[in-house]
Amino acid sequence: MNEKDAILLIEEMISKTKNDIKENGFYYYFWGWLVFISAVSNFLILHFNWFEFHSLPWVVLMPLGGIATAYFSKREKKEEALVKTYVSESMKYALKAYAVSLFIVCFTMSYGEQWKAFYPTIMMIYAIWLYVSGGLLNFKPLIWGAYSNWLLAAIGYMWPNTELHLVLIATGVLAGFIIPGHWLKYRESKRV
Amino acid sequence: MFKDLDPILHSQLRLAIMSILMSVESAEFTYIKAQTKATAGNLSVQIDKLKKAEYITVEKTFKDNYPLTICKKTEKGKKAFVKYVEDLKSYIQ
Repeated sequence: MNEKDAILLIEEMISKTKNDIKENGFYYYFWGWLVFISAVSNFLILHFNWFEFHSLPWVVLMPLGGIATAYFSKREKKEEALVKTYVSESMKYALKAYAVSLFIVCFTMSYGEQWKAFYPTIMMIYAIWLYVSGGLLNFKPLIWGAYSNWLLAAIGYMWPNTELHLVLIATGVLAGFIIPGHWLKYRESKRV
Repeated sequence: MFKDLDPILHSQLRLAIMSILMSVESAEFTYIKAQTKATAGNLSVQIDKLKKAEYITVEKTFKDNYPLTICKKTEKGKKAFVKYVEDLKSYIQ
């Protein structure tokens, strides 16, 4: 092995590993669709006054999503990556911060006076997660999704109206989770 | 000609292992084997040499009853790799 071979070998090995992050976007579009369906059906129930308990879609779909996520992630753990990259580790920390923040907001702001700021705050948290994960994955559609959610959150804070907020959050998940999620899935399928 | 280059790193497979470990936090034996396309026997020998030189640490555990060998670079290994690359550059220039 001469010096040029050594340099080429180092470059080859580093380039092989540095982009070895598998992200098929599943959780992005899975949760995106759940939130989208919940928000749209909540809007319809409220707008057409179908029945009083208009939050029913959330009460049914969110726990179901949680159970499904627990099942999928348990199955994934068995096939966990054989390598820990700095990006995969950073993603874990960012995801935990996002999940904890979301959990606190859901359990402290979904009633009373603070309800008026519930959906905009959720969108602010979405935006932070989308921005950080988009940066770590070097995937621009997630970054654009973050900007959309920040903008929609700002609109939501300015006009505290539940029907409007439901439309805003449905738009937010469409721009930040559903479209980028399916895009990530497409990118991953092309990578192999 | 290569007398100044670190003999522990100046071997194709050991250099490949260290290059992988430089860009990740840790990697399992099977991952390194797949990336380097080395045989398990040869890879074990070279990992052992890097471990003896204290360039890497090797942790042996179990996952679902299967043995798991996790390799990580050490600070000494990191410094040696950086020096090796600098030495290489001086040869090329």
